[in-house]
Amino acid sequence: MRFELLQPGSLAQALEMKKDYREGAKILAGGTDLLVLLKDGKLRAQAVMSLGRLSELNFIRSEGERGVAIGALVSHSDVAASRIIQQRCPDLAEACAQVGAAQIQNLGTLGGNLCNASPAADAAPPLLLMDALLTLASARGERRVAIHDFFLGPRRTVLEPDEILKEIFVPQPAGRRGATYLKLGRRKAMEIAIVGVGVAIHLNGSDRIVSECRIAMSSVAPTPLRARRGEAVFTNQEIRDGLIEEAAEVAAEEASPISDVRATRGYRLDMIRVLCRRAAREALARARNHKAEGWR
Amino acid sequence: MKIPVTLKVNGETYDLIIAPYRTLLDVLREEIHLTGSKKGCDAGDCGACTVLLDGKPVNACLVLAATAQDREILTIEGLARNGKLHPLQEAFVREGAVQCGFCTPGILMSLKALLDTNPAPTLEEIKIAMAGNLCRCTGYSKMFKAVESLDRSP
Amino acid sequence: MSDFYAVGKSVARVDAVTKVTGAAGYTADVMLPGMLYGKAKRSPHPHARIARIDTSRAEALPGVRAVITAADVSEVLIGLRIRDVPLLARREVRFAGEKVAAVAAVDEETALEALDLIEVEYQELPALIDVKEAMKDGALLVHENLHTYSGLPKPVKKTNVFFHETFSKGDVALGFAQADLVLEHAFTTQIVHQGYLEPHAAVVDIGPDGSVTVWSSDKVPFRVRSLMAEIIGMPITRVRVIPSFVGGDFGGKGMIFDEPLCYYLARKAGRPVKMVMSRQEEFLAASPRHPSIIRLKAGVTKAGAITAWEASALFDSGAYAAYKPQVGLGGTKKLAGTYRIPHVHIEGRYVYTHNLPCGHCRAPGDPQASFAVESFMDMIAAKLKIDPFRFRWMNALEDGDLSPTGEPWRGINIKETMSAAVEKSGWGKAKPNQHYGIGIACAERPTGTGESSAVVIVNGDGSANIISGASDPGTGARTILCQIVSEALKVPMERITINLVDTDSAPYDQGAGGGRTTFVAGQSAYRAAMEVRKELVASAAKLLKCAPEEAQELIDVRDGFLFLKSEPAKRVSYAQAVKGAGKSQIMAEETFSCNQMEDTCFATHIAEVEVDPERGYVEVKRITAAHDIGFAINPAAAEGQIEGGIVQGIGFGLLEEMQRVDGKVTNPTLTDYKLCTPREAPEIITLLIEGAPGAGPFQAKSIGELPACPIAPAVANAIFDAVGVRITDLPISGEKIVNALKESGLSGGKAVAAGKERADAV
Ligand SMILES: Cc1cc2nc3c(=O)[nH]c(=O)nc-3n(C[C@H](O)[C@H](O)[C@H](O)COP(=O)(O)OP(=O)(O)OC[C@H]3O[C@@H](n4cnc5c(N)ncnc54)[C@H](O)[C@@H]3O)c2cc1C
Ligand code: FES
Ligand code: FES
Repeated sequence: MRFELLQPGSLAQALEMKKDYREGAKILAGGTDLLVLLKDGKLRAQAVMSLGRLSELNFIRSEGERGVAIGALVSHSDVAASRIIQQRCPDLAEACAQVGAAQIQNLGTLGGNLCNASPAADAAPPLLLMDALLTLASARGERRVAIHDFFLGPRRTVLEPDEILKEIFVPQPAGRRGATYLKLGRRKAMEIAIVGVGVAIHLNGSDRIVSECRIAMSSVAPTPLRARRGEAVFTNQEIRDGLIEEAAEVAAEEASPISDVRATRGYRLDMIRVLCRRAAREALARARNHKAEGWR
Repeated sequence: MKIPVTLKVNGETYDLIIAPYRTLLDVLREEIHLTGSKKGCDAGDCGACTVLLDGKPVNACLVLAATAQDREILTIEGLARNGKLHPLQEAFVREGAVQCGFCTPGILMSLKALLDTNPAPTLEEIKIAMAGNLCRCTGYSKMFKAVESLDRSP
Repeated sequence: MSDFYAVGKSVARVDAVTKVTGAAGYTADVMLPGMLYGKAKRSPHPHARIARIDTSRAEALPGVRAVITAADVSEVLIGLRIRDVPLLARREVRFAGEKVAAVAAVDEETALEALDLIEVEYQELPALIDVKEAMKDGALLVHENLHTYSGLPKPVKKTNVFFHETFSKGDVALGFAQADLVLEHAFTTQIVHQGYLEPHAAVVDIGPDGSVTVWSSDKVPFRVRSLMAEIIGMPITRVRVIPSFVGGDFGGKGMIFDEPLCYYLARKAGRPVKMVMSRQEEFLAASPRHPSIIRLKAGVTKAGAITAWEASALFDSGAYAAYKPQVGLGGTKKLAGTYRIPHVHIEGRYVYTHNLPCGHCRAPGDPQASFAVESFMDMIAAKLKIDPFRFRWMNALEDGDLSPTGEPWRGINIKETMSAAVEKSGWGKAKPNQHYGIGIACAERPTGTGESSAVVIVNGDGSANIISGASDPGTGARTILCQIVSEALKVPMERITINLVDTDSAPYDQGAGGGRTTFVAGQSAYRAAMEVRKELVASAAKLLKCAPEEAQELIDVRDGFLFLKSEPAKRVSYAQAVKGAGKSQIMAEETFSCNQMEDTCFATHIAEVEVDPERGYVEVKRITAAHDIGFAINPAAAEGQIEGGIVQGIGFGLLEEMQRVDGKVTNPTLTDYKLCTPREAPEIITLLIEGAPGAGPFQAKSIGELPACPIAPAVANAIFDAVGVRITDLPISGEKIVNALKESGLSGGKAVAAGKERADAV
């Protein structure tokens, strides 16, 4: 691992550098993915551009009824500890608290988790559930991309060579909602998910009618993804016996997991069903407990 | 090309000229000769290299030294103050929580960070704080006991 | 037992302060002026002919100071017993990860870049990666010249089975004829790494006179010295090994790895060279635990008596046998457990393949055997519908019995450990929840034998030094030596020093391993201390006006003073006694050696688990471990060994596995090779059962290795108790449990219901 190190002091400067270097400069946020790849020789870089000095990308900001904006450089531990996030997207806080362990959570960033585009990224499912919007900046200007359109494949995103992820915006869902993210590993910490499943359930006044359901999964396909058909099983349905099982069954059909050193395809499919059922039950319970409140 | 970097380690300032790709762990060990931080994996998996960066535990093997410029770095060598062991160090000695000692520096740093923010942690909180640190010798029991043996009055 | 002076107490380790402050120096911490960094080039193929190696581009890289291949190094084959491994592969590579060349450069980056510039042309050959294939007649031979190798008990030719051992007692055919029921089952165990946190490291410096100084993470400095001297072709006096702290061993730090390469690189470059294995190299090419296939067959009566027992084990040794100090593994002999069985026949076969070589790992062979035997005991008990504890109890050895292989054992204590563990655990109590399970397993392991010497010195001020070459890879051995000497001399611990000393300054020691240090090194230190004490007493006799022939009887010692038992107030200090003897110090050296052992140590572990049947997730809640330890010289250190062994054993049982595809390790990182983190650590209740006579000082037995043995089967048995499936293939992953539940039809409704209660437990 040998490279030149760029340390821009501002986003504007970083974007200028990125314009010049393009793929030549790899972006370093927390480094917990990038440095491991570089050391392994799985990736080579002429230059590495550290974003460490861009404190302007390290914020969590409530935008009232609209939602929450999170800077790309916010660490997993700051996401997990944030009162705003805990209140408004508890499943995201839960997901970030399950990344690696304390040291990795202190270094690793939310932006890095997404830009690394690992199929196992823990922060992706909760953000998929909330239709997060990503602001991609370049010297040419900014654009907003829905998280659904962001991932292209393992380690591949729609980021252009001159672009930097600047901000993750989480729109505030309306009404009574409950969500959770469950991750399966063989240990209780330091695990890359064998399967991760997030479920969000919106209730329509009554405790028994699901107005909307969202299911997002990690480690089950080349990218984290939503299980739209599984969601449809729930939408506008009254809770009845077998509904959750059916949705889990359909969600598993939407996955295309592989066999690797962590688990076989068959086990992953089984576990999608299990996690999906459990997450749905928990999300439902949380939605029922949820008293819609106004956000400041 | 090497670059100048100023590191603040254990309250001392070091002006160094280093290659930009070197990790904080390698620079601490080989340039500043603070070899208490250990390299067990060089990949973030074992925690033997744990140091505190602005008070928070991080894997020194996953930090570029140059990006730690101007930040407060605390290593195991800075844990005892004025020749007096930190209470955690004393507890580890007393409770027999040290065997081969290779994991010990990293674990002490993780626990120091825990106690700084949570002086009376539960067993579960201790385990969570240590989860990024592997120890093969002790089975962890005596380490838990060492932390639990500390005076927990706030 | 309570009036001991220094033993029997959990005193702090002598090196604990050095370790908690980060001051302890390990081999990788050694920095010498001008030192170069070495790296090894390894084969990506499990079996290939080396057609050509071109190092010219690597040599031309700025910063590279030396490149070596097999042509530059001695042709000797090395090994701890069987000598079959070359320093660098010559003409042929026999496993993926074998070293073919090495470089030394000014920094690690340059060394790594140089590796990429070494061009090796391989002709790939078919590889034997299946141990059963390797045993077939006419199989490809991993070692064509096996018969020329030294260290084999008897020469064998044209086979991959380089060692075949058998143990027999009685007549198994007769025993099976007497049985009401004959059961048979096969068990498989995986390849696991010792998991020591400190990777192998070596530094070599060659003096202007050609003398060689070695720093090494090896736990046996004297063996490093003799092997290095032999390789280089020098008398051992020209090689000095400076021990460092060793960051964990578990059997993996007993063989030299990069030390010889450091030497050749240093010689070529004219500068000292350091090599530290990366974690990946540790997984590709260290010396992990042998995977095994074990077949057991038992004959039992309806009432539960075992009439006959047949066992056979296949151990895949990988490409080389060099990494074990014995030809075989002690575990083969353990394949009939701790039970009274009249007719026993055991066979063990050790087979070469093109997999990575295996070596010694905490109780070599025993955890494999223990998993098979103790799982099988439960399976038999289930068949007979007898409680697993009762079935063991009925058949457990008692004092006076011969061992299952017909050896005499002293002080058989297995039942004491069984009842202690049962009493303190949840055995026989109500299950706290539906998917809770409890399992029991027993094991036995003898105290290790070997040779050690120690020097004990009482100085002019009454303080004492121990000079010993005994290593302490984290076990507390050096602390225990201080306690033993403190006890013998009645000098407070604070006034006793034991330093790490090099091979020129310490008397010979065979090194840690096999649970021998407390016993062998302990005896040598104790005897040396008692010699010193005698001389002190003799000197004090003059000052205390005591007749010399009565002095040893009438004079006692305490806190560094000598006094007549009849007149304790009148004292002579050690300092005065040393002076009185007309000396500046009083010193004695003793060597202790023992090669035959009739002592064995017993243990019973009880595991309590909770299984989530939907995910197959197993949480080990509590382990109760009763160990027959004779006498605990340092109870905290003994507990520490047990606790560490248990957590390591849980990893072996549930998590750890070096996965391989076509002979190549596919998970060579600590991300995917899963050691227990602190969050997997269960509550552990350790019970030290004292009182049985041990061979060590103060009747101590050994404790280092046994805790790693009964744990995996105890957990496996607990899982069976919890969810009713029996997994006989380690590790017991969630996936295996889920699949077994599906096959058995036990999942379904019951499991789903459980999932409901625990939605938050994922
Ligand atoms: C021991 C260990 C355990 C781990 N455990 C988990 C886990 O449990 N769950 C999990 O999801 N991940 C885990 N990871 C992976 C990693 O920690 C996370 O993905 C983390 O969030 C990455 O963030 P980072 O800031 O460190 O990314 P970096 O390594 O700095 O960057 C990752 C990638 O994203 C790019 N990038 C980063 N920021 C930006 C940006 N703002 N704009 C454009 N591109 C950018 C980089 O160029 C790089 O390609 C683990 C890693 C390690 C080493
Ligand atoms: S050396 Fe940094 S985590 Fe292992
Ligand atoms: S004490 Fe050896 S690894 Fe922890």
